[in-house]
Amino acid sequence: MLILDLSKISFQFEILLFTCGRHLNQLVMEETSQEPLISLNVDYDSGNALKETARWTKFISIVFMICIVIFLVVMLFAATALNVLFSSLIPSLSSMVGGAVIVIIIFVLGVFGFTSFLLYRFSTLVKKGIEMQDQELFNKGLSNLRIYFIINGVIAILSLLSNFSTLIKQLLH
Amino acid sequence: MENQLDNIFKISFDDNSRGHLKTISMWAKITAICAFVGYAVALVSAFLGKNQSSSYVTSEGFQTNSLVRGSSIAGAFLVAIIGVAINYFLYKFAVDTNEGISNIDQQKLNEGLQSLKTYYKISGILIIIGLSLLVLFFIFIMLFSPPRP
Repeated sequence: MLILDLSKISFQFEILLFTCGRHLNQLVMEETSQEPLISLNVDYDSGNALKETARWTKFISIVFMICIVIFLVVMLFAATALNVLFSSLIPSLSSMVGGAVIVIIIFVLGVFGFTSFLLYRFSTLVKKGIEMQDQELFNKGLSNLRIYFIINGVIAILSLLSNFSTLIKQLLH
Repeated sequence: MENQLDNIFKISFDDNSRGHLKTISMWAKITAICAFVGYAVALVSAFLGKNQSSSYVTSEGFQTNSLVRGSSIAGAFLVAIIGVAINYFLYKFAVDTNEGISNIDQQKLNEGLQSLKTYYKISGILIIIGLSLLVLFFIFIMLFSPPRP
């Protein structure tokens, strides 16, 4: 009798475990199925916005790169003329200072060229990432935009400081 | 169409991309605020220049100088209006994206990305206008420049 009762109890316990397990399983499944609802997705709206952004940034970066190349070509051809112009404007200007001016111009053009390249990389990688469903490409594109914005931010801070110094000079004079 | 929708849904803003977007929004905010302050400073310095030059004009009597200063103020105003209008979208992008990521709000994130799109769209259109004006300027110079003997 006791053995029968024990087997009954153990059977009921098994049923209880089974139902608990099912409930637990359901809960886990619900949680995992809720995960995408909580996370942020590249849905239709954001995908479209990013694709359109990529289109415009591609255009802007290509225009900038062409402008930089044209400017460099003009500089190369007019280097001697520019040197003559500098020395006629400021006679005390040595050739070394003229060279330094050219180096500064090339540095500024290099920075602008690099930022344009970053913008171009962002546009191509994000567009490819969305079209090919490649998370890694998409992240790489965003990483390029991140570096672009950091450089832009530093340039913005420097130009603001320069604006302030101009204002202070005007106030003092 | 359905296939395209599926393709878009398979990519998500994971930890990596969310980190990138956070940094992007932070620096975008800094850039926009610097631009707003910069335009204000440029306007003030243009006005100060105007005041200084008007005293110079009265003492020396150069009317053309005052004209140049006036146009520089108008130019500063125009640049400030366009710049503020563009950078407003950059600021909105920064704020909305940051809010969207912090509160896991898809709607806000989408609004932020729409603002980024508008920012680059306006910039692109302005570049097209600028290039068109440049081409027109060169055509004008080529047509109306006096012929060399």
